[in-house]
Amino acid sequence: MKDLGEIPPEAPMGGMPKPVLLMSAGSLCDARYKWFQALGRYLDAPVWVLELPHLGVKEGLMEGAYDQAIRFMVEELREFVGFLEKLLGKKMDWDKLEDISNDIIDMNRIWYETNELRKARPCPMHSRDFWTCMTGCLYPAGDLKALKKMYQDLYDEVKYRVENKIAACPNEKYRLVFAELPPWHSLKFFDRLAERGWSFVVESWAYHPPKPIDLSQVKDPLERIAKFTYQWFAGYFEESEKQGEQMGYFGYPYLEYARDWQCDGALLHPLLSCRTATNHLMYVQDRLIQKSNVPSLVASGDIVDLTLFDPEDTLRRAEAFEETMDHYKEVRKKEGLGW
Amino acid sequence: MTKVVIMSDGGDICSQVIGPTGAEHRRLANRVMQEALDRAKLSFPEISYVVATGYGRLNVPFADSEITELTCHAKGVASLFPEVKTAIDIGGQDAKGLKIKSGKLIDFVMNDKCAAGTGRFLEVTAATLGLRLEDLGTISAKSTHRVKISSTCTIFAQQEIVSRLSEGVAVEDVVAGLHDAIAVRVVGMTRRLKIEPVVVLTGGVAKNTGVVKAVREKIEHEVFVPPNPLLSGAIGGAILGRDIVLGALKEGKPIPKKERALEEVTFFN
Amino acid sequence: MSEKSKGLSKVEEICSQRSGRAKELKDEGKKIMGYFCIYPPLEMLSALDLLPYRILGDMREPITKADACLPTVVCPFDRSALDLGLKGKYDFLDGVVWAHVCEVGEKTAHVWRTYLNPAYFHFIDIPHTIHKPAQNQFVQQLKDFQKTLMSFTGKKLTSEMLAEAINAHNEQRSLVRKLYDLRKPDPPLISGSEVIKTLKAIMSLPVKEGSELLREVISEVGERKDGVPFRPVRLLIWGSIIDDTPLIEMMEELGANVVMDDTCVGSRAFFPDVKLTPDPLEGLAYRYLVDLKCPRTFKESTYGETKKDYLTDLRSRFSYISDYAKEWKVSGVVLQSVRYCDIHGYEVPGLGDYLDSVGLPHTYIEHTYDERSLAPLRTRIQAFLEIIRS
Repeated sequence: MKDLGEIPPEAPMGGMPKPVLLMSAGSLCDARYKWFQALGRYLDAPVWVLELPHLGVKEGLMEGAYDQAIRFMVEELREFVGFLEKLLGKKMDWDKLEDISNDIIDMNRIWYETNELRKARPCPMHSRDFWTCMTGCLYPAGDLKALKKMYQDLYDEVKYRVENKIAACPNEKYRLVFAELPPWHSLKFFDRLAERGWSFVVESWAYHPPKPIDLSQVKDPLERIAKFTYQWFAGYFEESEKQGEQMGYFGYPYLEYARDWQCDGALLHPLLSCRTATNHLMYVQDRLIQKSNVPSLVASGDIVDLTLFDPEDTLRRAEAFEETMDHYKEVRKKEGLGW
Repeated sequence: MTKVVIMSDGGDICSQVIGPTGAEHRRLANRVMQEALDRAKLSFPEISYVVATGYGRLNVPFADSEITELTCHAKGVASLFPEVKTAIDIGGQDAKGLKIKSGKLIDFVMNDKCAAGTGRFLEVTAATLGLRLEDLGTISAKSTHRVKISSTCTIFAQQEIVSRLSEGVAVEDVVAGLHDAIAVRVVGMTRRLKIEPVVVLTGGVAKNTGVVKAVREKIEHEVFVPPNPLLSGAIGGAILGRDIVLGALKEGKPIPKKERALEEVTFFN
Repeated sequence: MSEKSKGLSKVEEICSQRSGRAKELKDEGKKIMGYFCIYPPLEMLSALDLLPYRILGDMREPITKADACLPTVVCPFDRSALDLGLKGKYDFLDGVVWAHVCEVGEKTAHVWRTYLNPAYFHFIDIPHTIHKPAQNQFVQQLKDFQKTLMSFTGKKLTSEMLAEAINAHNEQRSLVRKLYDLRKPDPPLISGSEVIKTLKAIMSLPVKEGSELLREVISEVGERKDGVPFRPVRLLIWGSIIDDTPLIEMMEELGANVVMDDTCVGSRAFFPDVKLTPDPLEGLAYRYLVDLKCPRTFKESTYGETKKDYLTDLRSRFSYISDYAKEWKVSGVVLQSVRYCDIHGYEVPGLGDYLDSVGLPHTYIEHTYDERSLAPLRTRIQAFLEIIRS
């Protein structure tokens, strides 16, 4: 095929320039590094695979395991810096790295606290806003100071809404958690559910910032980066262990969400073309109902093939699902679950 | 369809017959064979060697050997177009892409899992439109605004067609869209082989001028279609059978025949 | 188990009731430790007198129970193994050790632990690269594994015990390599199906018993007359797990002997030895992380290279396959994978390019780890053999 490895002519903004480096990560999904490796067929660019330890809950809590994981990540990051310096022919600007990483960590903290505010009843901020705003933290680019100010403004706005009981969804009847990747092509769908009083108060674990930890005493910026990143996983281990849950990330966070954000139900969105992001959803569905009496509505879809998502059918089922949510609300009340 | 080609030792086609298809008909391949024999004025014992190919190849009781349709198609197409490098065969039940070098098959891709991109796709959708399969090509030629059929699945495409028609889209534009959908699917699959000219299109669907046109557009090369695109596999099988016989004779060896009887094909025995 | 059967007939007997010996030993008080995939270091189990028992799927058994825990669009082998677990077929295991081989494998581990909750369970993380810090991390992972094993068994695991187990497993590996030597003649002295069954059998036995069985098979096969018929094509089969024989048998029926493999109930699991290092865990870590050849680990020609040369990269990753092809006089390579295996799937284009560069014919087939799903592959395999023979 003549255009393989070329930039498609219709690519937005003229397409991406040919990369000097393919930076992949062994985190969560195998495609992240195997795909970049396979791209070698078309791009004569080196590939670097960043490491992130994937421990089980019990193993992650073993004595010394946390420190070892951080040590490993820091060593890997140091190797990576050396590699970058060689590749680019210039030295790392440590002050700049310090500044950037602090901004990112800070930004994520503000964003985390913003999402904490969504625990309020009525919920002041809806999932649609989450999906519009999460990119700045997850893919930080451009002017970080401006970005940080945006998140601070957002926080202030959401806080104001909480104080004044301004609801994101005017008649908040049901509070829901959504997982995982949304139907980007049909976000309007959430509005239709909002009309029915469905308020999406929290969503997809991997897109939420990690639980903040105090990193001010950590001198080495690489260690700060490592601890901040590993927190996505480790931040849930202790609670997960207490609850006897084994899937510390991907799985357990939804139990915490359901409890702390007081969810009546979950909307799960399995995808064919991103299986890693969603192949745990059956398990999540089971854990939610077993542990917390929170039922799930499963709406299959895709982020590539629009035809796999049927909004009309989902809406029809949503109507029936309301009865299910009502039922489990009673069950939770009887079991003294508190919401 | 059941096809039979009888070839002489000199390589001439003595007779060729295309018999009907369907589960019951397929079982009666022996009748198609008999018809071919009758036309060639030959009796069955006079046939030196029989090659069976295609889906039913394993169950033909009157064959001496079975060779896959991939090898047979490549051989047959190369006998008709010696310069062929890429062949696409769209049959009723599957679609194949063949990479051919100096008349020999060197690589292939195939779709035998799903009706999309096969003749079955057109059969089903033509029925939805109330049209005859053989008229689709002529109808699509009238199209001025081809619609895009986005469903790759035959069942969903059917629903899409119905909704398009209800929107008032002209039938010829829908038909042209269907041809385009098949071409996208089959050419996309064949691209894995790196399409190089000369490109030949065969199989029942190659009789549909609309599909040929759509394939030509996608490939951006001339696409050749043999005069009888259904027969290239059978012709290839006959040539391979002839090669086996002539090879054995040349080496002074007996022709490697099997116990065979001109009987009905047995499935699920 | 009958005392009399030996060699291949014993292999058949074990494969027909694979857990038989393990259950017998369990009755005698031995603890049985299930392991998933080829990454948990078996030496650490053998050293503590635990029986390492490979958790496999069953392509002849329809998946029913696992469909409630994992979607149908993930690795059907993982689903099948989990399904057997949920159906109670692995209930005789005293514990399970799992490793982070791939993403679905990781999640299956947690699902297994949740629903089957064995008395002992350990999940070993495996880095994705072979960078130096990754090797260190893996040693540390093995140290943690050692800790939980010792607390489970109540025994101390000393370097001497480990060294002894390493020797025993290395001996078994050298026997497997000898078994593979018997595939080199034409026709081979042992068939592809017989090799899979033999390896499956020894993955269900204590290491020394497995080695004894290998010795019996090797001597039996070396002496038997007309064991395997001549077939015109000699194949190497590469890819994801093959733990049963239908695919190999189909190839044999179509006129090919499978004489070599790069799969994990095969050479991949057994070929590399463990080097004895002062701290045995280091040798183990190196063998399991660096020497094992599963595409789940990211490897490149030069660590930290800043320029990429595609062909050099391919050579560094795949030249062992053309070495196999030469040594076993292979005429074609079948690349196969279970559907939805990302790590094997992404490897195929590059491996295909490499095989093209060394002039080895190859074809790629995908299946759903289901005996019935193999039939449609017949035409593809047959056409591939026709290409090789033409």
